[in-house]
Amino acid sequence: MPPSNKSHIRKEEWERRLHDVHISRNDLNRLVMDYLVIEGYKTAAEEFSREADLSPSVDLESIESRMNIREALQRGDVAEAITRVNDLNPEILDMNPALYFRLQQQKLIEFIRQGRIQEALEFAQEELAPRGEENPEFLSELEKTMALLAFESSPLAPPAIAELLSPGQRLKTASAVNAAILESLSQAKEAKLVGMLKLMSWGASMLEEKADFPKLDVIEGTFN
Amino acid sequence: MTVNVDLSTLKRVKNSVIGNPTAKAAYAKDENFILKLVECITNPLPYLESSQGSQDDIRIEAAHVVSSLSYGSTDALKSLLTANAHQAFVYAISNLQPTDQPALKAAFARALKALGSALADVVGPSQMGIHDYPVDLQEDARNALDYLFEVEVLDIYLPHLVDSSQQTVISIAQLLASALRSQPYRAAVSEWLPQAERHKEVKGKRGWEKTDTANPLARQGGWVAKELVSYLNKKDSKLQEAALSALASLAKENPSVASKLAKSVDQPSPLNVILSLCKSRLTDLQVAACLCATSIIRSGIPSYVSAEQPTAKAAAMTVIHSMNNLISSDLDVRTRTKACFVLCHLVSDDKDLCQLAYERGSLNQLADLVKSITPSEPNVQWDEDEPESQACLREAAFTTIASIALFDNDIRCEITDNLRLIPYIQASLTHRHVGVRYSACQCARALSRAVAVLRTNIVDTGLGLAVYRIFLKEDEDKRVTYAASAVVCNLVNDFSPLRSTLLEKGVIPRLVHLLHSGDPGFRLNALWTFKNLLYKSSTEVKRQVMEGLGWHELSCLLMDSDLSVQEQAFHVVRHLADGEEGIEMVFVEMGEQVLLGSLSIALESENENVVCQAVCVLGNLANSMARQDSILTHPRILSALRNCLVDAKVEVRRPAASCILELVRANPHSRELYEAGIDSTLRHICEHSSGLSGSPTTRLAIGFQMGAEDDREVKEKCREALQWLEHGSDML
Repeated sequence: MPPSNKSHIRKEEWERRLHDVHISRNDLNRLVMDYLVIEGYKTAAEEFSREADLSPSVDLESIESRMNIREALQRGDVAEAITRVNDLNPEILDMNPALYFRLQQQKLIEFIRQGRIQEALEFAQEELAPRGEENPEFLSELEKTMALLAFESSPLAPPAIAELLSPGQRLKTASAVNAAILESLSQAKEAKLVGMLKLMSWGASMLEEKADFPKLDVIEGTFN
Repeated sequence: MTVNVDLSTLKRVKNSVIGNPTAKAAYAKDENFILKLVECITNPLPYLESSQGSQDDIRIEAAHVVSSLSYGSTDALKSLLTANAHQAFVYAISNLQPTDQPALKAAFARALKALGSALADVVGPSQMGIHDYPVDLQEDARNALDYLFEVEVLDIYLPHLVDSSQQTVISIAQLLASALRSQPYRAAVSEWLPQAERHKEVKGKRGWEKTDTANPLARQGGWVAKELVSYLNKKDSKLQEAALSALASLAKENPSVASKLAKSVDQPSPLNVILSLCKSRLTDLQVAACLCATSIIRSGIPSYVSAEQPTAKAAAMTVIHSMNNLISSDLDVRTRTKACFVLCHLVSDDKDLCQLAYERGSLNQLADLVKSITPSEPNVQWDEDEPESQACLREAAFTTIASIALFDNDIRCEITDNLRLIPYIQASLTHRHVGVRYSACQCARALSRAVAVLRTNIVDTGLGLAVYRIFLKEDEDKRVTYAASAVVCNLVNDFSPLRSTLLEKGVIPRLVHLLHSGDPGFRLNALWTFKNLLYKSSTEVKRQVMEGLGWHELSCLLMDSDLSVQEQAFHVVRHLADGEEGIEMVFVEMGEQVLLGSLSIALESENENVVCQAVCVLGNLANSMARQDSILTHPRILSALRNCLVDAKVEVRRPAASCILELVRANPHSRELYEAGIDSTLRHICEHSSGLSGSPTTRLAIGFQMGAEDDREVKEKCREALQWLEHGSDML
């Protein structure tokens, strides 16, 4: 397709058009608040709430709980995480067998990581095996985790199994729990700002096919 | 060893049982623990150690443990019922003070909801798909549920539908959503009024005032409906969802509430709000809204009786469109399962709605869904590791497909010829999950109702025989056997290529076995199948069948206490007595006395269907010249037959007229016919085409009031019979 058919939008024209779009201060504030809340910056959210005279869309205590849970999981303290999730909302784990299994699997992984093999074996037998019986779809994950036991953090473990010991696994578990909590509070799992960025990026690529225009460098915050 | 009940133990127990069915089962067995647990809701003092928090803390933890135990453990539910947990929570809620912490209220409401839902699941009927109902728990669960819907108890928890605590409101709404599964409960809740309103009503009511216009609450479907509707416009989607689900259960089969929800007064009707929520981007909200709309659309209210009505059609299309989108999406399994069931509830047993769904492409989406999760050529044990949730999804899809295909041949052919779903249905017949097998049989049943399909696809693909194998299985779940028996019923029809095959493969002994099972559903289906099997069958087959069934048994069935069994039994005799050989066989094997005796009783049965079959049997028997004498000389048959000619529905009068015609034609001078008053009856029918005419004496002579005969077939036969009577020897 001949590139010369694209129209050219000059910088001044672009800036004028941007200027003509009216966005209220309130909308901007709400976007910021939304970001702070979802990402879990409780103190910042409190400050911002005072300065912008904007009440937060959610109970800020719940943000703190979510952050505590995330931190507990990143430390490998699964029991603490489970206790906090149940304090926040006792329905979540009862209604979500997959998530509960995930947490118990993480617990087993932590036992293995700490070299507490005997406890790991007992835990696997008493707690995880019944999960596998109740829901056969968990069996393959269970087998993977048991295989980890067999390798006992030996370097010979295949990557899929060794991966279970990586910090990435803890992060995955933490994200899954965070998402479940947000969902139970009917909150969005993603900050609106992120969604808007995606939308803008998509719009820009659409426009790119038809016109040359000043592109926004998101990181620098300037126009090319 | 009983677990102690104190705050730290309770917290530990709570964290160990939430999400953990094995742990729940373990604590369920500890009846002492359960007793103490429930006790501490009402009276926490003995369990309090001063160093460990307040009374409220302990009660909250105990409530959470009870809630968790109620989910998914019928053993625990049993123990909780024995400990009267439901009453304890009602009592606790009744003692709540405005100063109590919201967490306490919320915990109690949640426990009540958990208990109520668990009880409703035990008692049934299931809201989605096939469910097991533990027999030993039925009576206690039913009593407990009845208790929860008594007015005095409603007085305690329903007011909390208007509460400062969002969580409490949601729990109460969810309780209603789950537990309102039968009319008495729905009525109790829709008629419930807060005490203040009740006193107003008593004071203000005068006999001639219509309740509707006098009482603004009634205009909105009752206090509960009004409060739930007010939540539809709130921003909290969990609250909206709970309100929608509660309304869905309240309005189901409940025209008095549904009609108010569908009515616009000065603002858009609640139904309009609900329909707009059907397009919400939040899927849980969408599903709840569609279920609610479905309840209203299918409640039987006048403006929504037929899918032809524009408002009904538009509403149905909104639901169909929404659910089609969810079904074809890649959303989680649970959501898609619910979407299937919502669609199923919308269209089931309504020919026009099935057609509408078909036209809007629902079948395509469902077929794609089935194909994406089912192998067409399964290897053994493909179902072993399948998650239960996926099996439930398949069950949902099949159930919905079976519903849509129930009425129309084009739809059935679409399924077999274009969508080619038979291999997937067939593969699912042996799935380990009972719901999958059951729903697959339901699909087979729907398909087998089309003659064309029955004669081709069902035979060619082996589906017919596959279902038959299920039917034969001794250790199969009864519900599946029942569904399979409905298919077999169609497979033995005279036009079915499988009739002789099934005979060879032991269908008769199996049917006899089911007939003796004592289960009313099985008995009826077995007889129905026999009836179909005997239609236009050879004497050889008749003998074969009767060898298995037994003439004595058949005679007993003619007098069975279950009238629908009687009806089928007579229908069996009717098909046996088809043709000279058949008639002789019946007279000889059953015996004239038994045969004519049971016929004469049946002709006077209170059940019109039994009468109809009896008359048809008689009609067949009357074709045999050799046996007409016995009929004519039987003391009661002729007079009963005459009554049938005048005093029954047209489906009875027609065969009665045919029968009389046969008898008269062969015996125009029969004294018995005159004595039974047949001739005067015929005369009356022929002479009086409209209105009551004739002298009072004629009417009195006949002995009863007669309306005019308006059916042409009956009139023609009577005319012919009368001619034979009057000119018998002259006619050829």
